[in-house]
Amino acid sequence: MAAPRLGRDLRVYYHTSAFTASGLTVVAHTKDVNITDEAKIVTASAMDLEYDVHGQGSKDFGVEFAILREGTDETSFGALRDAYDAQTMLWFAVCPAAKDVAAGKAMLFVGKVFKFNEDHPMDGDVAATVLLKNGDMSIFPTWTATPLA
Amino acid sequence: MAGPLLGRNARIIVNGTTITRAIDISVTDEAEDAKLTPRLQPYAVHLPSGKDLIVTFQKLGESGADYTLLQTAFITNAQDLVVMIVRDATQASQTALRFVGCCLKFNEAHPKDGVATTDVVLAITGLDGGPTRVTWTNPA
Repeated sequence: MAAPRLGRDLRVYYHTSAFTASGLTVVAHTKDVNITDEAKIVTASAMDLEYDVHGQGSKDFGVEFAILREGTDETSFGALRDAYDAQTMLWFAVCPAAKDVAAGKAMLFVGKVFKFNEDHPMDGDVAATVLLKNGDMSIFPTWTATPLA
Repeated sequence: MAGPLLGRNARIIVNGTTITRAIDISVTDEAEDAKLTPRLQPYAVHLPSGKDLIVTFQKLGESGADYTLLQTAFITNAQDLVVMIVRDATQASQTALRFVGCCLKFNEAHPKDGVATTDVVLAITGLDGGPTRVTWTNPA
């Protein structure tokens, strides 16, 4: 049995214009990444059926994570912040582990930043909470083998 | 990594006055989700809409020009407070968040066995079109 995968190994990458192996930038100092990917249950019933029939409706996708902040703005932090401000589209790749960028798999989606909350606790580290959602009607979230072309 | 940023170094500046003894600052800045569900497509599509920006914090004590400033802003329903959020006041300069807002909450707690605190909420009014990122320079 393979060792369990650790959540700390996951990495979120972004690109400003395409899914390509080169030009992907890792989002620095992410923690507690949660990928929400669930379908709405669509139920049909008919008089001659003993059971209701269930199917998947429009799936809902989102990636939420915290970024542990440094004193200076990292490139990735600034890029996500600017994308949130301007509501610009970014190309995202979520890899279960950093090594998966070179060989493995990645969840690809095109979307926007929906949340950019900051917490400044008196007795702790500053963290920003970021929420990403898919927003392109022609490219839907999909798991793809890496490396990307 | 250069070292984590500590929350205690954050500062709130209102109309040019630094709010002293402000702790546990929380900035909520998020968009509503305008969701589309195209027929025969596997995924719903999300579009950010109507963003909301709210800052909450606690202020210790109940005196000083900064305290009076917030109290007066709440009482007079001031809508044109210029608010800046500085993440690390120990630095020489940095990118800060600036917006024009109002004071939505000014709750005072006077516990018998503790320090008087005031829960404050500042929210954007949108009078100047929205928040901006500005360069803050440490006056010290």
